[in-house]
Amino acid sequence: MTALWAITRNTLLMLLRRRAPLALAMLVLLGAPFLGLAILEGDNTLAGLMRLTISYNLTVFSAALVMLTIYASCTCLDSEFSEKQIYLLDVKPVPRWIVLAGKAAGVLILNAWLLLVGGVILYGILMYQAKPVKGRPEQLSDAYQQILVSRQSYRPDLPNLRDEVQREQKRLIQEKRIDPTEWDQQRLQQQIAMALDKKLLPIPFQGNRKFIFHGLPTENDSVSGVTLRYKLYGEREGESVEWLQTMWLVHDPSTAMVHQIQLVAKRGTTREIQIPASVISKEGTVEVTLVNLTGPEEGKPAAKINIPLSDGLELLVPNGSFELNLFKAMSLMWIRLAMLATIGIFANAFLRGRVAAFLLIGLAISGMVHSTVKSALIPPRTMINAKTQDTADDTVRNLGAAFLDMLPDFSDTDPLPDLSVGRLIRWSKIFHRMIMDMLCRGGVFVLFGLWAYRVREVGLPIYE
Amino acid sequence: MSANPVIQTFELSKLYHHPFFKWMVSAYALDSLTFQVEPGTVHGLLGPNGSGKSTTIKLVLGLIFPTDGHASIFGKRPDDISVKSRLGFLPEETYLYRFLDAEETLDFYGRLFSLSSRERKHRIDALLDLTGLRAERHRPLAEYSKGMLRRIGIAQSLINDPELVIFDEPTTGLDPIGTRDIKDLILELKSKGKTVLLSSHLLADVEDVCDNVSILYGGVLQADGPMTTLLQQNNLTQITAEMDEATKREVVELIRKRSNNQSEIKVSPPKIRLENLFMQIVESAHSENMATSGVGTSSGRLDFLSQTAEPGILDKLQQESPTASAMMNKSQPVAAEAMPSSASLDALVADEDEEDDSDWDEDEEDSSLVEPIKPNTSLLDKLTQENDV
Repeated sequence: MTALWAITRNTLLMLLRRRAPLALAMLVLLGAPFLGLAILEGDNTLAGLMRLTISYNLTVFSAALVMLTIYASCTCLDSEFSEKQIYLLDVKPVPRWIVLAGKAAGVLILNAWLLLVGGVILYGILMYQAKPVKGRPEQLSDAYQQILVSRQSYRPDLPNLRDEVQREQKRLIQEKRIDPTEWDQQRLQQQIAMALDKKLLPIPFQGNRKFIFHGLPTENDSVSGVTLRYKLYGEREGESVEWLQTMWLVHDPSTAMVHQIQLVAKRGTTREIQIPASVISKEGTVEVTLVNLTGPEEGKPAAKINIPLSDGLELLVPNGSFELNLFKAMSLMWIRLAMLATIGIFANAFLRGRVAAFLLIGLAISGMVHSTVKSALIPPRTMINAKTQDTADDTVRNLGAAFLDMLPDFSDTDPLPDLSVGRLIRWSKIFHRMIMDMLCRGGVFVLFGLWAYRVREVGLPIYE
Repeated sequence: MSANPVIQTFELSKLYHHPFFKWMVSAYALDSLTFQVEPGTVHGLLGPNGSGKSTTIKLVLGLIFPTDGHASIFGKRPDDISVKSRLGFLPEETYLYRFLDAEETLDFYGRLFSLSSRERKHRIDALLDLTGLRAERHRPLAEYSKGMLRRIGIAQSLINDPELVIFDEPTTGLDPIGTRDIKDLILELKSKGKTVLLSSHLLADVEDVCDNVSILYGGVLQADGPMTTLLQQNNLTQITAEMDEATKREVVELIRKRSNNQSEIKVSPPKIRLENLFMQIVESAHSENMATSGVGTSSGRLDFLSQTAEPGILDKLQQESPTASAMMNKSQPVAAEAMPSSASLDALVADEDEEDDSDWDEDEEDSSLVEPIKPNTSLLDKLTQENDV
């Protein structure tokens, strides 16, 4: 442990005393938030400004620290070789894996420290923005309810379409529009369900749809209130409708009454409604009904309302503190940096520093555009009406998907979507990312790097 | 040849390959090198630039792997971790972290040997004193001169009290005083029973300190053996004495007569070595307290270095003779410890010197014909004496 800490400490000193990169990182960490204070305006609401502040700062921190991590991880071991300090290190009674582990630990500690600094600065700015000002108590209240809060998210149960799917599948087979022998049954049924859901989901004028949420904490858990967060789309004769008139009905089991909330919502805009905690039943369920009140207009027929189930509707229940949530957000970002640092350092065990840097830059870019690339390379294919199955094509697509899955996806470790709306970041997500990104993706490089470094002739001349 | 050599190579060969086209050989660095380094000796590795000295050292240290043959240190593979805790290494250039200062550098390497913080501090102080860098201990190495870097490099090689020290061109970049200090240090290490492998192309350095020497050229071992055997010219005799012109003529005449005019005779006054002359001048200037910049004077004692070799005569006396032991106890209580600790070791050495001096005085009384030559006092002892003065 003494040797491991010695190498870790030495790596930290090396990174701290090479002033240029660290100064740049500190400049970004310190300068960007204050620049943001001056230039960010938001949507004239305090919650909007805070959301923008979080978004801006986390994006800037992330970009700066990714660059610093690439630099740090690709130089701290490479310089040992280029400046030949490895000659002295390798003849000391220190196993080679400790050298790599110490270097990685040094970069990870530096990242953690910088993220901590960034987190404290961001928190300070948010607290500064949330200072009580005359004439806007509602805005302050909104900010504390929507941003400076940690809320657990609950999604509604998906409609059970099993019987409808079976019937639809039979009909498609009878009409010879699908060949059941050629397709995977499970995937086929998923596609039919999606198609049916699209067809059945729109709510007609004066129609309604009930959503049931399960697993909420019961009243005994001293929940102060819940928030219904939603996003709607509407269409009228194939054209989208900008403003939608809706009514939400929330059943209150404690009083056997119904809370009725009538709202005009802008298309595609996320809104939140505060509901008393008494709507949660003893079994921990909440029933919410959406009624479409967007009637005919200027000779045009009434509109249908669509609500995307993936991200259009959720119940948010306070759980934990904002400070802890911010810490978790920073932890998620640290996992991303840790993965890059681990890959960079262990790739350095068998690659030159600049080659490893190119690799990391490639991974960082692929991480940023992962989902876009994946949907472009592997578009969702419909099996319905497909003429024949192209095995070769399918194989290439599956291989492509498998390869992309091996690459990191930064959206998995992006805390922004959760933190900026005060949504709880679950520990399970952090541990999952730790396993997937650090252990699995980083682990491949760790294993290969350890083997390659073990058999590396560290005293060989370096060719430029 | 020892049964347990510290370093042993057998048919050691190394080919350097092209970095990209691995099947292409770019250099034949070493060819079937077989040699061994005996414990407690100073072994010189000689050869011109590119002769394979550094390659040999890298192979012995496990920094590169042999194409053929094998090397061992302390009877084990070079990559064995247990071996590495017993050796110190100074590479041909001082590859240290420029962002650290001298104290941090030694502390870092001390930590790699898992030394306790107390032990590290003690050794760092001793080594900084030895290298004359105490005053510069907090300056970043980036600001050090080449000679100062060399000194701190040497200090790091001794931080773990190694049994084997490998010096690759240790005097590169050092002034004559520094060079002399290094040579004295090597002899000091030898006197403590350490084994030293010294690679150099400066023949005078090697000649002054080495017991055995291996000469390489073109990656091939050209000569190998004890220095005295290799350098001795058995057919010639050198006499050094003070004599007047008449005596000189008589001696020459006598030799001519005895050899029937066959012997080639050269008569000239002996020259002292330039290094000795230089040291005399510097020591004289130093004694007059003339100001100078640069590193301070080496001082301090490597009291943490342990005795690696068999106990000396004094130690044996201590163990075997109760009377001697009692005498030692009387004069220096710490010397009576059964196993010499780092602290008691110096006391032992000091006593040994005193003992030697008194023995010498007795010898002088017995034999007035032979000019007394004092045993080689170590640099550290000498400096201590100077300080005492």
